[in-house]
Amino acid sequence: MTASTAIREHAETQFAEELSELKRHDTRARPQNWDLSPWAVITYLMGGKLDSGFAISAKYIGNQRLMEIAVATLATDRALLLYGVPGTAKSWVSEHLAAAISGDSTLLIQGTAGTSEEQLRYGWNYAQLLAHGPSEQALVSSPLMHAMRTGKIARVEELTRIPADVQDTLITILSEKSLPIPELNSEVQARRGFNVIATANNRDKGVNELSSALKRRFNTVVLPVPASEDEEVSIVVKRVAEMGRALQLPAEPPALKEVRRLVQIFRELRSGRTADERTQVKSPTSTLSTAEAISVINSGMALAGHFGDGVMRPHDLASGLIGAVVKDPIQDNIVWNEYLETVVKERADWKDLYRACREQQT
Amino acid sequence: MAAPHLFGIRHHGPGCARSLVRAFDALLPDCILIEGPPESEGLLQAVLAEGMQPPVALLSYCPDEPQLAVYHPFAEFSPEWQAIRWAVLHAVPVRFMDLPMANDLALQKAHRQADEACPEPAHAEAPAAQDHRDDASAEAGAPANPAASEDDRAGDPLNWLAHAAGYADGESWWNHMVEERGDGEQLFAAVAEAMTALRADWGEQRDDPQESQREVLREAHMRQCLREAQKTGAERIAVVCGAWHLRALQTSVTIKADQALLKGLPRVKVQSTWVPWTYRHLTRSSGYGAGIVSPGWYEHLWRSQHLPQLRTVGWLARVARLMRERDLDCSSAHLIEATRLADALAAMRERPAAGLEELQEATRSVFAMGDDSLLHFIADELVVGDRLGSVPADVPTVPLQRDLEQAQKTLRLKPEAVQRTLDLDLRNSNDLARSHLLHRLRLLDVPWGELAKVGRSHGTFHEVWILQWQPEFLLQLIEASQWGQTLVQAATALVIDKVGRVSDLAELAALVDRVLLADLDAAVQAVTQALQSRAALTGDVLQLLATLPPLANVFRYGNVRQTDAAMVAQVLDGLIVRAAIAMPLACRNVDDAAAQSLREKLLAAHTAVALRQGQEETQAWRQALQQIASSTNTRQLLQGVAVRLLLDDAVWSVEQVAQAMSFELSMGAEPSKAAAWLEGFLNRNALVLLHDMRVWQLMDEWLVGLREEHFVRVLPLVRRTFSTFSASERSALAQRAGQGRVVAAMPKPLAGWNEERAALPLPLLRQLLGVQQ
Repeated sequence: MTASTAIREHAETQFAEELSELKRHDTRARPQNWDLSPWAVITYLMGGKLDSGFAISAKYIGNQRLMEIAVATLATDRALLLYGVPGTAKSWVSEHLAAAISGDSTLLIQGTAGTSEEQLRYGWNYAQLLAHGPSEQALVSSPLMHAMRTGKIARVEELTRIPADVQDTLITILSEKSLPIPELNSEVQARRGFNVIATANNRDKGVNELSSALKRRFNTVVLPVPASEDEEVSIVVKRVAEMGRALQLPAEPPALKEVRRLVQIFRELRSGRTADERTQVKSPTSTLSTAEAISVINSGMALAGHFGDGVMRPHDLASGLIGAVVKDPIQDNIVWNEYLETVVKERADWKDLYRACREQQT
Repeated sequence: MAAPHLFGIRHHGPGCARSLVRAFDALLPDCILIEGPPESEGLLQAVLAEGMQPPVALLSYCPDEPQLAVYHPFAEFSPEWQAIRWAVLHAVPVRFMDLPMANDLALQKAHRQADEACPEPAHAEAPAAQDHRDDASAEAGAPANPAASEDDRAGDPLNWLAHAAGYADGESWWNHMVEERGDGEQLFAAVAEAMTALRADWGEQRDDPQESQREVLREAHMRQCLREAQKTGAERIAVVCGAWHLRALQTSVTIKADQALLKGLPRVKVQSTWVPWTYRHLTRSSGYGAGIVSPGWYEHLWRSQHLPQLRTVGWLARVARLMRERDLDCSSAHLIEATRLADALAAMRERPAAGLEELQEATRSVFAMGDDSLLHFIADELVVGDRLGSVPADVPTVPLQRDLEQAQKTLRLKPEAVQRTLDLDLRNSNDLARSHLLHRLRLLDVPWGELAKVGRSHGTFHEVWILQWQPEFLLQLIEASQWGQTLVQAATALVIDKVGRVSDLAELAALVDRVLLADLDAAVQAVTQALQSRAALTGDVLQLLATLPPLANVFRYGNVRQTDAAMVAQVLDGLIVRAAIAMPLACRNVDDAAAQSLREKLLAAHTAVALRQGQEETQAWRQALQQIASSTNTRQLLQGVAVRLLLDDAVWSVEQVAQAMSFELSMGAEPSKAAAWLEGFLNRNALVLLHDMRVWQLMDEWLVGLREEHFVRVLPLVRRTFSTFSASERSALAQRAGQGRVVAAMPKPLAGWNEERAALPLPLLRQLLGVQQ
């Protein structure tokens, strides 16, 4: 195998071997134009061992039922909307679904505030257009159009960032499964196997709220934050270690205790209840995702390394922690103070953290 | 002798019920034995009576001790219910073959007495739940009581089978294998085989030796009943019991051995009756050990048994109707897509039809945009359901009635149809018990007594009631008997249920008061707990402040009624701290009307904080007041109030107050705002001006220090404030002002002080005040 110079490989390239093995052993019914059967797609996502003994690595760590819903949705020709707070592997899942089902994850439209209708439908090659008038040759098809022609999965990232009028272009495509080209008096009809996976961020709710007509054409799967504290701690520790190396932070990797405490605080504030389920707390407006926990630890390590003795202590953590929790200076401050006074203060072995946080605030 | 036909079932399983009815139709049994309390056999004919509407429960209880009781609930999809109905419809003799309740309850009583002799902390749970738990162990499909299955990882034996089949839990495995399947004539053989094998592996040991002993007795009695039935010459005997017991009925044990086991068991008197039941009480989370997770879903399965194709669509249509009732969009197209997704999911999971999980997942994905909140109310209204059963009017009385009659007798409080007034002196223990009784009845919606004096404080020793007994109270008692067998149990269970549904903090605080008055310790705990967690979530400071006064009252005067104030104190402390944190912000940027209502709440809460007398809480509260007093964008009225309270508590020195006062009332201040400040500061009370030298001086200095134009500007406003004082107060103020500044000095103590004469009244004063020398 020749080494690739790309920083990041597409899923279908990186896991080409797994995909071909799966295909070889896949004896079950496949929907038309699918590379794999729905069961094999689940195995590809969740990992497992084939009958031949070939091991498939897990792409998604979490609830298998969610992946089953996603695959069943695509198998019934419904578009799939992956929803969730930032950092819950939405794009990751959509890429791997496309790679497993169509063998191609590159038919991608990135949703931004500037995404235009041409990017969703088709554009024109103006030199051709001026020279020969409207024709198939002058047409520049979008990834979506390409996917319709070839019967593949198209991906739309950050659907809710796209202006509402542009979003609605999708309605015809999803319900009629065809894309009219009035200039040529023709249309592109989707081949079987075509489908759309969109991702959206539910913190951006209301930015460009999906119209109910469009909403109705999607099945929604919400990807949750990690289910258990242990799962989240291990994700944080792993990512912090990787990033620490990449950023060449001078501090030692943090003690598990500090990470566990931080993850606990994040989880408690996020879920609105303490870990022992005895006390309710208010939740702040901030997301408090796993990704943010990682960045708090990273900044704590940087502080400890550059200004401290290299070991991360509560006061190195405190400023980052408060910054992550208190996004709205007024409402979140109340939430944070209540949490500090009613929960952190009461925990005997958290006194150091309590003091560090109080010092930061005064 | 004819071999019996054994039908091992799972209690409340619609699949079992359906297969059972079909099997009966094929077999046409001439004698039916059912696992149930033999004492209730006389009530079985009532299943077809008019007005009998499941869910209902057979209640067996000991008339002398109503807290000794067991419920056997039945839903329309319970196999036992269908078996009884079949028997009564076909006029086939039907017998209950469980251990007689007379023995069972006597054993339970001995068990409980043993527990009381060596109380374990783990047993400190609500009495209502206790009874359901005891009942739980009477059930076989899910043996072992809930406490045990939580601790014990193996838990429900069904989980073993489920794990072996690759399912996460026994419930979903059983649903797919048995309850949600279309076929099932061969079901009983399969179930019997599985359970027999399982029980052989599982062993006979239980965590609780008493429990396993009881199990042995029950099965011995079942075998005895079976032998008796065989003696009568019946040829096709059908035995319906929990699948768990099948093995015991099949093993051969000698008659003698069983007789020896059952000989000389203790007995108590037992009566039984039908009581209405609810689906909520059928769920496992209600504390019922053989409970099921989804009564509403099971009912749907039962009712759609003849139309399997409508199962998925029918359910989703109910979801859609529920959504529309809540003004949530839901079209037929949604229904079609959800049905397709549910079917596709079932196919992917290799199941013949969509089960509850697939339907819930399809609902979430298609109807709810992935939002879980919709599923919560579906879970509540459809999966569990709120069906309440009813029983015919002529069934015997319930123990709750007996408990009340007993209480009426011991407390000498006769029910009378005429109105009469009752004055209770709460220092007297009999009167106190009467008061508790009346308060408990009120909690149960049986308003036998009405409190005559509304707004009564906890401090008084008297309570005046107006009593009048209405005949319909009896019906209410029957309805309330679903909550428990004694008034205490029932009222506690009812309150605990209610707490889950009340969201208003003030209402919860009032409920604390009511349960304290009714002396329901367990309920007090639940309510205060709920109050605490609700308070943690509320963003409404007004609500938070409103809870303080009633709680402080309970705390302060709790001892008069011999209630436990410590429980309340803890909650109160938490609330004060929360209020103190949130209050400064709430006082900012409010309009006049809001400021007015905040002022009232603030003053009441301040009194409450003072009643609590907690050092830390007072500290936090005062800090909040200081923030309010010195914050610039707080409403002036509230600032004035805060400064005044700080002055009263001597937190701020006179100099500080003087500075704040001159700042607020200075030339630069807008006159209307200055007046609002003054209004807050004086607090509608001239007495403070008259009696507090410092305040008088401050006002005086400020007024005198005003320049003429400034004086002219504030005069109308000051006048407005002063006009709220009463006429006499105003004239006293005028007099005081007329005396000039000289009087403002402190009155000097008299010079010629006669020590001897002053000492004379001291002994008497000591005696009066109870002070030791």
